[in-house]
Amino acid sequence: MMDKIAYSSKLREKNPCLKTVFAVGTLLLCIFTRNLLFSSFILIGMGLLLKTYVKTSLHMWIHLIVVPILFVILSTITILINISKEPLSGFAVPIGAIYLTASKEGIKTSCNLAMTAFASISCLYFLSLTTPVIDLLTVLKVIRCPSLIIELILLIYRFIFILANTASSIHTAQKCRLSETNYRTLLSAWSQMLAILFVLALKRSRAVYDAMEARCYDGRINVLLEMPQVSIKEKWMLGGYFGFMILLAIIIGL
Amino acid sequence: MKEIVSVQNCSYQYEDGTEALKNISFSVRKGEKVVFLGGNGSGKSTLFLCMNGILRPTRGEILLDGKPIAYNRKGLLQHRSKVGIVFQEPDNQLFSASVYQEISFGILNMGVVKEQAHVAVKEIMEELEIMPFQKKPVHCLSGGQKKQVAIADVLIMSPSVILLDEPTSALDPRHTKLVRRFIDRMVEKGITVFVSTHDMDYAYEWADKVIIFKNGERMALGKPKELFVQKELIESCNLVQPTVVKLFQSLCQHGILTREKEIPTTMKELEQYLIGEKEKHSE
Repeated sequence: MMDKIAYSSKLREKNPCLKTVFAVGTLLLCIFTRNLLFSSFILIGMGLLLKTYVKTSLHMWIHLIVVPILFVILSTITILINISKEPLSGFAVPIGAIYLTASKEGIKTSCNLAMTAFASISCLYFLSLTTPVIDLLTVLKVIRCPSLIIELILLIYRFIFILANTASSIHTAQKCRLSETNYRTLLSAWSQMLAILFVLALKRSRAVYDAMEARCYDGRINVLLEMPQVSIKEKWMLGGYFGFMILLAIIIGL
Repeated sequence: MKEIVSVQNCSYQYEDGTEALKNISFSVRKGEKVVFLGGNGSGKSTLFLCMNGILRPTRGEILLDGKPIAYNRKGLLQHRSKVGIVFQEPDNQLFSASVYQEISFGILNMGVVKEQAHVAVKEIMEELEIMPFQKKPVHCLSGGQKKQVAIADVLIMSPSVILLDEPTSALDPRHTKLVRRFIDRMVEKGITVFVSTHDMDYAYEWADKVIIFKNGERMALGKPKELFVQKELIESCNLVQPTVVKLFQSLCQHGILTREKEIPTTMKELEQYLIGEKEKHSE
């Protein structure tokens, strides 16, 4: 689903390496400074970028953001709150003989941490909403990731869709024949589908291998990777951006 | 002209014992348009796999340009760069989610340098009208578009023989027309094209040579006009006669047309005959 958005984003045609450097660089800055103000700045910046360049509905946004937000909030709470017999400086809720309590220091750190996490997530969302998986393969190639891993991703990525398609058509065909009458029929339909999916996947993998062999496959998947040119303007913009951000990080850090 | 492909007494037995091909022999000259006919499971696809070197016949030999296929790594790679195969199911052929990557695969395997390959990919995308959807991921393409990519996959390797396994099955009329145009262009380029199909009308109009299979055996070989008039033969192979032939024969039987006329190749020709008859009557 995120991939679909990435395909229609206005930054799709830009060089994937450029986008990765931008997103990962910002992410690293975020993590190193771990500062509430700086992180909020990045969060807002990324939000604005995504709003301008990626067309998504509000519904989709909420859908995308709700899981990480829940996760961050829950984990922050566990870091924030201590169970102790002595009340700490921030607040304390007495429960019988013990306190649910947190120090002022602790509250500050947790806030910083939570905000950093949000900002980092926004960086990664930026990358995944503007760069389809196929383009990320180019980046992996550039950073000299082993070709075995790249080839695996290439094949898995394609066949996830085929498998999902097959599964959904089998599921529909089963529903047409009343597979969802009751719990029992539902379960048996599911188990049969999984079994046949496995067989089909095996069959298909053989067919694909044959088809690749037919085109002189020699054990290595040689394909051309698309690499749009990075313009001088883009390079300068990226350099300027990081210069500014580092400066900002230093100022805020002091 | 020289014989480009020659299949000699080929048999193929699958591991489970099914005999998919039984003593098949035929040869084809360069540039000939060949159609394989036969019901499902008659051995057409197996024969294609044998001709590409994916399967090795259990008995018999396949010759390309007079030389038998060498079943070693180098020999097979060389053979496969000359004999391309477009599979029936594009989803079984396209392995990459990117159209551009997908098409570049074959030509890079042949050792062409990247810059040249890039130019060739762009050219073939232009030629096969892939440009409008080249940026889309493969899983978002329609069946017809996938077929176009599958053909580009093979055509980019500029083989001298192309095998198309039911190229227009499951395509809409627009894409069927498109694919047939591509096939005609291959023939113009001098490529020897083999097509397996169930479309009798197309086989009748297009082919120079027809080979009919049934249960792994070669039932008949010849020119379409010679074979398709034999009603018993065609029906015994689980096929039906082309519409033009059927109609022509029926019109002759009813005395509307006379058998002296040469059997028409297309509906258009038959139409002309009938119009001619009408004019004769009104005179």
